[in-house]
Amino acid sequence: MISLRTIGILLAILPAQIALAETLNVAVAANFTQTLKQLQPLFEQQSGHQLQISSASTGTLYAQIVHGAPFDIFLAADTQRPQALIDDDRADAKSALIYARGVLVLWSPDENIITNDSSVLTRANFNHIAIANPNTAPYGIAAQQVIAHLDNLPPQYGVEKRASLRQKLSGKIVQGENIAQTWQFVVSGNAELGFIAKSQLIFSGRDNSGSHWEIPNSLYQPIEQMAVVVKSPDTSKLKAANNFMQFLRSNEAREVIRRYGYNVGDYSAKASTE
Amino acid sequence: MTPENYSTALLTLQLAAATSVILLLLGTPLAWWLARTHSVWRRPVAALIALPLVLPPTVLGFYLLIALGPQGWVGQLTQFLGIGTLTFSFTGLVIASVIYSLPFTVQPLHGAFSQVGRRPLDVAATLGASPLQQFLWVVVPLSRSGFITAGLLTFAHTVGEFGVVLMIGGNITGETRVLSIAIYDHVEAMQYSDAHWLSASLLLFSFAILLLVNSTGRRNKQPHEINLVTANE
Repeated sequence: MISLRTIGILLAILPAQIALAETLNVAVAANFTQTLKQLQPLFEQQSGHQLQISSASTGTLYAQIVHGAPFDIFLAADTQRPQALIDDDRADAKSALIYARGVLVLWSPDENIITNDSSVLTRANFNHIAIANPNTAPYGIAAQQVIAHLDNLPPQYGVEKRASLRQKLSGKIVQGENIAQTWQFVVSGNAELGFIAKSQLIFSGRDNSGSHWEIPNSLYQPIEQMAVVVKSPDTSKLKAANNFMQFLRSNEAREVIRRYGYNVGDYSAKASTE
Repeated sequence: MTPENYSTALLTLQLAAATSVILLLLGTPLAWWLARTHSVWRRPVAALIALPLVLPPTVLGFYLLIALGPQGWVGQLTQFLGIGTLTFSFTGLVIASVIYSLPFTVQPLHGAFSQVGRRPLDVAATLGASPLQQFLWVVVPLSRSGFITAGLLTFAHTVGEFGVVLMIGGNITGETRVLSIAIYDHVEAMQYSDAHWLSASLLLFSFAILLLVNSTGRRNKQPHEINLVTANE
């Protein structure tokens, strides 16, 4: 009898518990996965909700969401794909948030290659330089912009040297499908140097080894990473998802994101003016 | 179809052709050895050859990236020989494809050679044929469908290669950008009509190859048996 009563009580309580603690499926762009895993315990502790993380490239995740993948939140590496979901009425426009801005770094495991400026590119005395695929990866677009920008700089270092930079590099550029693969090309030594994400340097513990040039912001368009809540008929899930977006805006979360190599400061203002 | 898609298709066919020719040359003696030997190494070697069938291509690609790279043992060797490193090059892709498609050459040939049996060879030997003559005049004609199947499957499998190329190719147009990578890129870049074009072409191509494989298998069965009978008499 006691056990029956216990079961009855449990049955009465359990649904309430389940309703409180949601499991959120988060689709995250590959470059932010590690940082999200640092944020995860903080959020889960604060909210009682659980995060189920799926990591892939932004393009793949976008295609999956369009074809009905059960994701509640999309942390993209660009603004284009989340915006496309909003335009398509698949994501909530009010939820849109630039949660991080990527920082591009030219890095080599060899400490003698890069001298904290662009001169290594104009010297071009290497066989391969790795960039992410500019057609699909935001960090690849940024890398391409840097090269184009250096080409157009005033000819203070001699016109010929500058004007032919793109040509000089064209036979040496190898493309990773995403920033993770680009990193792999460089860290394995197959490409002597490459344009990678600052967060990768920090997570690999290599930020003090090799040589690098943190590219000035003026040389490329900001790599804005946008998050959106994917629309769902489940209101308690939506509520939990919006809790997470709120959490991303918190000082605590922003501090973590900054620590792992992203810029966030400029966007808090933008987020709060919504 | 854009000109770039055409050049990508051409490069893919070149890669598949080079791989098939090299593999038929390497795979024939290997399959012959497997079919004839009683060595204790037979099973381990057969298992090693079959590995690419079950291994994720990314595993193979990852190890190749390391082995062919400047710190890897193959990379050290090629640098010593003055060739440089082979990652991000057409040659590197051919080497990777040879490893990746090896079972698709060796297994059909092994099957065909095993079916030939001892007797035709014994007969040829009594007629004074040397081992090489036995192989060229008896085994090769009797195994014709095995060669055709091996060649077609190797070619088709190399055309369909993705993971390995992704890991060591570097996506260089005209050098390492093959069809499967181009399709992946088109999907990633939301260029779905290009992706559809290339995907549908590959689908039809693969179907045609398999149809061809099946029909050569059936057509050759009967002459096969007739040959065996006449050889035995």
